[in-house]
Amino acid sequence: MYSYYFKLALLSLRKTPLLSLLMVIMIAIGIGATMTTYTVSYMMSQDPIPNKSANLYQVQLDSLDYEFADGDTLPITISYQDVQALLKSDIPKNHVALSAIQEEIRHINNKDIEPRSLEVRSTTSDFFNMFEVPFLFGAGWSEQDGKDAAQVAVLSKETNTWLFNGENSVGKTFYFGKDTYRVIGVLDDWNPLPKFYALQNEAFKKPNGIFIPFNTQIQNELLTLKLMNNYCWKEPDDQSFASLLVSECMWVVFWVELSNKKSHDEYQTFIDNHAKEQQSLGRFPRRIFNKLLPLKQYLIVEEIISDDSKLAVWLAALFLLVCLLNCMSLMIAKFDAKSGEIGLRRAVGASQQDIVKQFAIELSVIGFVGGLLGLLLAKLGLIAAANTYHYLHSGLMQMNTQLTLGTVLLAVISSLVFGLYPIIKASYMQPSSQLKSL
Amino acid sequence: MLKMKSLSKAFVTDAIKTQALHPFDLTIEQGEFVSIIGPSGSGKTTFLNIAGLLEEHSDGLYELDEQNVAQFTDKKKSAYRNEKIGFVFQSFNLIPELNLYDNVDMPLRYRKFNRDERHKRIMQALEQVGLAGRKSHYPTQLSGGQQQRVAIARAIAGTPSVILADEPTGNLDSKMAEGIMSLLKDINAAGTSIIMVTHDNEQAAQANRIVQIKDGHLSEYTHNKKAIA
Amino acid sequence: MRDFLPIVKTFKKKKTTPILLAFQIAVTFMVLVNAIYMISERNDLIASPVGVDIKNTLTVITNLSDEHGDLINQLEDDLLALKNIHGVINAAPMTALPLEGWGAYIEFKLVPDEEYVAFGGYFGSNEDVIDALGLTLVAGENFSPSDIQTAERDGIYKPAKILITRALAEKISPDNWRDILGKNIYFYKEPHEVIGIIERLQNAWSSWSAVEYTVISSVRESNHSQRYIVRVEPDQMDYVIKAIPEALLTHAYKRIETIEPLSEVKKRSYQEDLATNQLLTSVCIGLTIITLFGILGQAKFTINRRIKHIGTRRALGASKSQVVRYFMLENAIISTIGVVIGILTAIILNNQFVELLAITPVPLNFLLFGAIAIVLLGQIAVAYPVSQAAKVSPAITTRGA
Repeated sequence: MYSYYFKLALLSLRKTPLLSLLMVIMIAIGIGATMTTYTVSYMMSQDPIPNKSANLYQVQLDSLDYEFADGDTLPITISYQDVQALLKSDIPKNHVALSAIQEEIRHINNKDIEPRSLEVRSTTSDFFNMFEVPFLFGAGWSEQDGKDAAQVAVLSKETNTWLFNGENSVGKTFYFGKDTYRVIGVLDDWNPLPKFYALQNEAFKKPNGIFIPFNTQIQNELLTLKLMNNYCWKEPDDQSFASLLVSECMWVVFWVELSNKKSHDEYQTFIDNHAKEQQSLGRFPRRIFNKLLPLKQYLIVEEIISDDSKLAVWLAALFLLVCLLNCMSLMIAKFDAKSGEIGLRRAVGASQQDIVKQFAIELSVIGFVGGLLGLLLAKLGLIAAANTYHYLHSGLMQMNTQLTLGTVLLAVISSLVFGLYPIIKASYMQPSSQLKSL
Repeated sequence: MLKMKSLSKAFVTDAIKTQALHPFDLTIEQGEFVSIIGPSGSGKTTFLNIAGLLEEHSDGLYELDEQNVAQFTDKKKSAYRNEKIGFVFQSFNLIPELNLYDNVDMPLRYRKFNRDERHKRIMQALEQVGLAGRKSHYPTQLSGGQQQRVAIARAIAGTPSVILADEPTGNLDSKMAEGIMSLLKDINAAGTSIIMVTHDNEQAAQANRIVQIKDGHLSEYTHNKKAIA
Repeated sequence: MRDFLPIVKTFKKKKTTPILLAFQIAVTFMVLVNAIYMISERNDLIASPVGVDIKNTLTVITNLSDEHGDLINQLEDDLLALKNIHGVINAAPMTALPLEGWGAYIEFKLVPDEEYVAFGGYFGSNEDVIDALGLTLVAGENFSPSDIQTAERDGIYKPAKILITRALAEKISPDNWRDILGKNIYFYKEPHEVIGIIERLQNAWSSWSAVEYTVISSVRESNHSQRYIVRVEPDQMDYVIKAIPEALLTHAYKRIETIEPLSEVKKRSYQEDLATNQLLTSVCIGLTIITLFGILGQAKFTINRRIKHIGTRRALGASKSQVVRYFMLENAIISTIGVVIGILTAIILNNQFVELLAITPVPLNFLLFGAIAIVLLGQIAVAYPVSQAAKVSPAITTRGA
């Protein structure tokens, strides 16, 4: 029976091509607009590391002497002194300290390759394990390399393509500012979205191109204030790098991986004890209040998803509503034009249910075609969005399978929902009224 | 098989009540050929619509195959229309985008027939109206008379017990009309009851009963057909 | 107007389509009015003056290299080189750039260890800053060369003479903003004497509520990544941009990170707003088109359905213009109903909307203007099908059943 209705639906579309086309276009435009904006918003709120997000915590310490912000919000960075202390713990499965610097990168001898000033992620050796970073060649640096402040680097796939033509560059050297660094690993594609591990304003920026050991940054006294969230609530003794390191300035992001409740609690005790110990030495003046902020909560607290993107989804949804209302008028017009056929079908024995089924299938077909076209429009829309939001991560403008299927499904369902009234209205039509004057 | 007792129909719109059919009694037996005559607007079509379960009556009793239709759900009514009743309209009411085969197929689709059964019935019906050879044609490719034959094939394909025909020859010239009338008579001869609304007294006379409706009042000529003719 | 009642009566009979259209117009109205208001708000924000001679100011970011000896010498060499370029009015070092999106944020206190009275952004520079940015000094005086101190990085912690913006002065001493002159403002526990007030200078973050509260301190810094601000004579921008590399790249360790007009920095700081405006504009255009389609379609549909009705009217002596008027009036009534629903919903939902989407409520004149625009839009959309309908021959009534 359904194949019969399907056939009738196709016939009907052919009979009123203009009206049907208009409906398809309405649905497609509405769906396209909604899914374009929804994709961006959805991708922004994705779990960047689903296997692990439950076990990842950002460490926040209240080492300030006054209230930082309303309530219990703390800076997302901690001081270098605390980083050193925390790195000594063996409770977490992994722990990483993060900072960033800007540095000029040059090929060792090929002058044709223009030097580039890159944002360099400095971090500790657990980083790659902890965040499940895939490697194309080589691996991250060892703990020992990290401790020794070795001048080694991990390149992103893109950087490696630029600097070494995409070849296995492990063991090769390049200029890192004035120094020579050795490539120790090359990453495969790795673009977690949001870029949760770094500062808030980087969440949707392009991925880092190069990684070096945190200690190497410290040893070489590399600082790029612009890339730091340096919260210096108490000024350092002087302007030297050494003073920064022993100051109260909070500028290092610190993440830990705690696999279970037990280690979580143990670690909480550990950082609280650290704070108490420091308190006895005159630090942590205000209170012992240390947070292990779960990754997902961090993304919420820091409002990683912008209001603009939410706004866009709302506007697009209203846009879809207008399109669907429009479509509903067209449906009524369409069924109105078909009242003769409805009357006839009722006369020869179609029940109201049969009529409902027939038109539901017709609208599903229209919704489906509209959905496919809408999918196409959404993809075009995302290309346009990628243009408009060129400064954001391109991964935001890509649909995954769920969204792709969801788009078509949304089109079918919304056409049915908005078709419900016209269909029921059509099925309740008095059949005899239409038979005389066909 | 069709029994109406004190049946009446009134329309109420904008506080004005129009009595379309005044209470009447009528019984039609299986195999009868009944003509309904009367001037336009007298209530003939309303009568046919009530008989065909397309409209509900306001008062009185209507039994079809000894079943009180007032208690029928929409589904049951639809099933009755499908299985027991065949409609033939003045303006044929074929679906232009379907070919003859599919037009005749239409009522069968609402019944649980398999493909072969439907095919058998469609071809039988088309053969009976003499259009089996043109099953793939579309209605617009046919003359009015041929279109009405298709409509009759559609009505009989489901082997109904009664055919309700609303001025089946109204849009046809007399020669074509004759052909349709003889086709209807053949169908009647095979045992199907026919209730036919008509303007044409000559045609009406070919039935074995004549019912006249005037201003909503039913009256029957049980004898002396010639008196009307 | 005598068509008014008959039109309303037909609505009673065939209500779905007009209701849908009215509803559609209501939503369109709401979205359009909100979106256009947001666009204009953002445009105002983008258009808000930075306080500097933005057309003729450019920025240079270059390195000061440890390999090349003393950083201060390099800084002074750079400034001299920049000032010597033909077409340059003046050049000054800056610790950060206006609207760069990065910089120092401070809390201002009148008495150390007490509550802060305001917060704002910080720049460190030298006596050339007013000339190099094209600032307007409205009270007090500029730094003298002897006021200028030098720091390697954190000049913010040094006690120093400062210039502040008038907005900040008004914030701190609302009664008479000039009162602040000669007084000390404390940040990081150090006193900073206000010696001059400038009309306006936006600091690092364009979307920040305190973007107009800016301090320029008389402490220049010699950063490894050094920023300069350069003001050029009118129309000399391109020439100077081309001339800078040659002037600065004097030794092997010298690199130039960026040279760009300050207007580019500003544009980048508003890129999110610009992008959002682009998005809102496309929504508005799309919505307008769709709604026009809707009105057009609805008009065509109702007219087709009433073609005989039109014929009858024509047969009974209605002129073409009367038919046109009938349908135009019908559309105007539907649009008005839609707009009224829109306004009511806007008023009822306003608070929730404002909270949900963090937008400011739309002012009344926008609603009124929007309402008129939408009704006019409807009239335009309905004009074509209606003028077609008016051509219906009266004979249609007498033809066939």
